[in-house]
Amino acid sequence: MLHDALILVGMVAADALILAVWWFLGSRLVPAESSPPPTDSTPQSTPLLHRVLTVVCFLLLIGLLAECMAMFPAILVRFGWS
Amino acid sequence: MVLKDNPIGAEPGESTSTKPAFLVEPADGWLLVGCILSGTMILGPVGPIVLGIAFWKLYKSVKAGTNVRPWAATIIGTFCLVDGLINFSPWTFDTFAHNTVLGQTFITGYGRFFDGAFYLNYNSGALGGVANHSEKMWQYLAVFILMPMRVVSAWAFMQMRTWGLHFMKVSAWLYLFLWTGYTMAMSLDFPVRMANSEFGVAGWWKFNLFYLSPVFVLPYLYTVDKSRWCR
Repeated sequence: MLHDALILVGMVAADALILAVWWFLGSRLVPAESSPPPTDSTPQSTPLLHRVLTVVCFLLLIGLLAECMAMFPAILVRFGWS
Repeated sequence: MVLKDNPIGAEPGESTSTKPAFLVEPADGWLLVGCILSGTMILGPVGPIVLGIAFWKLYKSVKAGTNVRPWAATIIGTFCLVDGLINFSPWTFDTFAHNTVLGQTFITGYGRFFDGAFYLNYNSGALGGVANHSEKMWQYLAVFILMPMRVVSAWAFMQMRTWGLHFMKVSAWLYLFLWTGYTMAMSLDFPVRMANSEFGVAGWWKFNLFYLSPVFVLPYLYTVDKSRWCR
């Protein structure tokens, strides 16, 4: 039990370190987007495209969250602990 | 949807003496915790509840017109963040914690449902965990390069960082690269992977539908008003 706990704590620490390194690299090395010169009119199709993409991504997010909620309980119910 | 001209409330070029707030929206703390809990999958049953609270608070701020971040960026960023975390977290279990009861239960359980490579000959390879060589290669690529990059870029994107938008594009293209390679690896190893799982091909497609995220995210990233990402 203690052996597992130590490994899991190490895993969380390793995860945090990996993410911190990428945040460090991203915030210092990745250039900012350069804005294009302002235009008088924006394309009419862009708001519609954004609405469609937002709805699609929202539906996918709902699917992901259902998967997140169900996966581990389903594993425990179907197969039990290893 | 209410969009503000400037996310930090300052005129372009105006110098502000105060440091910008750590979080763009007050409810972003809830959002981050909800995404992390959901992304672990093991704590998944709790995560969406916290995420629901965050969305409710953000939705109220949109309704009140006090939001800074566009609602579309919240939805798309959250989707990418959760997606990145649910790939990052389970693969790190297999990389670092494949000898624990929790790790073995979770990973081999996933394998029995979706991908036989995650339970056949488990922990028999040189690096432990999954023994399939092509899967191990994709795993290391995902754990050390792509998925942390995806997680970090999604959060920076939602925090309206200047580099966040650019990093989201980079990680989205890399994600497309991974999805193509991973699909090929899975298909070529079909007899020892999907054929040895409960759901087979149907389950694999259902589960990996979310790998198509760059197809829906990249068009948004390339058409959005870049000037909003100015923190």
